[in-house]
Amino acid sequence: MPRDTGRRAAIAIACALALPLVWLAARWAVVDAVWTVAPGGSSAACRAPGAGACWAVIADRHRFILFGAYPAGEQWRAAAACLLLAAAYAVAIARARWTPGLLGMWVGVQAAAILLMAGGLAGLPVVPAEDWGGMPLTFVIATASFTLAIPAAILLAFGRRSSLPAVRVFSTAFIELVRGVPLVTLLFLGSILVPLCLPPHLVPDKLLRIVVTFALAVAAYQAEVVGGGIDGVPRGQREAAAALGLPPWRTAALVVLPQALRSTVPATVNTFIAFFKDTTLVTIVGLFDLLGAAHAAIADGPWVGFGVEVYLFAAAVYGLLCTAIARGGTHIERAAEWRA
Amino acid sequence: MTPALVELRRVNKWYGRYHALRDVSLDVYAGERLAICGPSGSGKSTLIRCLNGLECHQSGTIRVADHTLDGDPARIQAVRRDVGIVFQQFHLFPHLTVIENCTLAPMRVRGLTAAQAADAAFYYLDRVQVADQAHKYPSALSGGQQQRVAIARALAMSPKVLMLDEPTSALDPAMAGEVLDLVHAIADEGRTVLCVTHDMAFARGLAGRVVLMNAGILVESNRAAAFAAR
Repeated sequence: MPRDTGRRAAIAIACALALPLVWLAARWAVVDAVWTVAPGGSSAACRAPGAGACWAVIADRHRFILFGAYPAGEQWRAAAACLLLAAAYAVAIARARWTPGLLGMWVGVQAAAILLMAGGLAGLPVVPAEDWGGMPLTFVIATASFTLAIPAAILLAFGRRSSLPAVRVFSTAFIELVRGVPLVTLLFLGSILVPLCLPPHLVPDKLLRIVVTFALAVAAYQAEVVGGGIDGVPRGQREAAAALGLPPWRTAALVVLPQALRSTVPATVNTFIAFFKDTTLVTIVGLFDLLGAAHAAIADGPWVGFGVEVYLFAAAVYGLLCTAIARGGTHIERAAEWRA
Repeated sequence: MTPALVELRRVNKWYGRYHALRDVSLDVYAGERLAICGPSGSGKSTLIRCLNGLECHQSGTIRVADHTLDGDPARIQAVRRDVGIVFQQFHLFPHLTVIENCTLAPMRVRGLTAAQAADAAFYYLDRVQVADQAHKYPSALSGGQQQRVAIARALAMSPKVLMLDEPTSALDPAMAGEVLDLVHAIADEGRTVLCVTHDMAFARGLAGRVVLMNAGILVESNRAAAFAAR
């Protein structure tokens, strides 16, 4: 028997064996699924014998999963903040907009999103940061911490390569210390130890402490990514810039950095996706991000026990967002090519 | 006699234990065309790298356009404004277009406005016949075009001395002839040209003074005609 035929036969047999599994999954997820119950109703229909997936838990609890403890009547603000940030990402990946003005736009949009969620002006009721949760919390922590971390990472990367011993030692020590400590430990330090060490009126807001903690962690990892990019720029580039009379810091900013950043786009997207997912760790210091809210939605009340459904929902949301980030990264990589 | 534009006195340079330049003394006068010839590893590239502070010499004195190179960064900067260099591998900035390559330093170092710098850059790009490529990135250009851009980039800083490191090594013979014409044209404007090459025909074609280097020693200094006659 020719090999090809053998391979086809094997695939056919495998498919035939897998078919019942596919059918079972489809029956659970679609055919026997319970899609809705009466508003505020019970989960009795889902607990009936023979019932499949209980998507009713998503229908009933999706606003809590997506927005956490954010007041129901104000959730449009949280949704608008998410859309605002998502739109900012979509706008920022186009090469035509890579101007100094984009930085201002970027900071402005984040300030607007945070003000929109916090309220306290233009007649919007104040929503304290402890009540923020779900997707907007994930968005705000990831975006704000990355925005703070990228400039810090660039400074640390150049600092580690500086000829000034004090700068070099500080940068190296910072990077190695922060990378050497688990993120969970850093979050505990930021959320619990910092308030213990400061007089109460000086303790910054919990969300701010967490954003700064994330920013420090991202900066340490990203500094090594940027550093690799800096080392990858040929020595001739620095020499050519020096020979033209450009002083070292202008050489770094105008010649080395643009090339270093271009070559590190894939690794930077990697860091971003990793830390985007790591934002779920804020659950352990008492904030409810998307995953934390999903977990809390089934912790008590009528929906106890429908973990598979809410976790599948959370996985779908994370999968969608991470795919979007990866696509955006690919777009940036292609847009950054130096071809006219 | 006017003082030399470039003056080296008993210059020594070591890389670790390797003695790269041995008691090199040389005077180059304004408007001269000088070819520095020698086999690979003879120290000729090291010599021109020392002349604009990319490498530091360890003993002896180097004076360029009245600035003594003594390791003081300010003086190195001053010398670099007067000395342009075209590298063997060109080292164009790949993230900048041709015109941006040629205006970056004039704007940031000489403080020209964007319009002034672009005017000057276009003048030199036109001189080296690549003005029509001004808005392309270097990766879109041929080797010969890239070298012309590198020459224009160096000239846009209006240096007193233009140094070329192995200008023919990356080009085919026909292109080498064109570069020779170009270097002649530049020198005829009164600019001092220093050319490092292992290509004796090119050195002769430069028709200026030829010095030879071997094992870090500047062994001979002669008129090109006498050199060619041997």
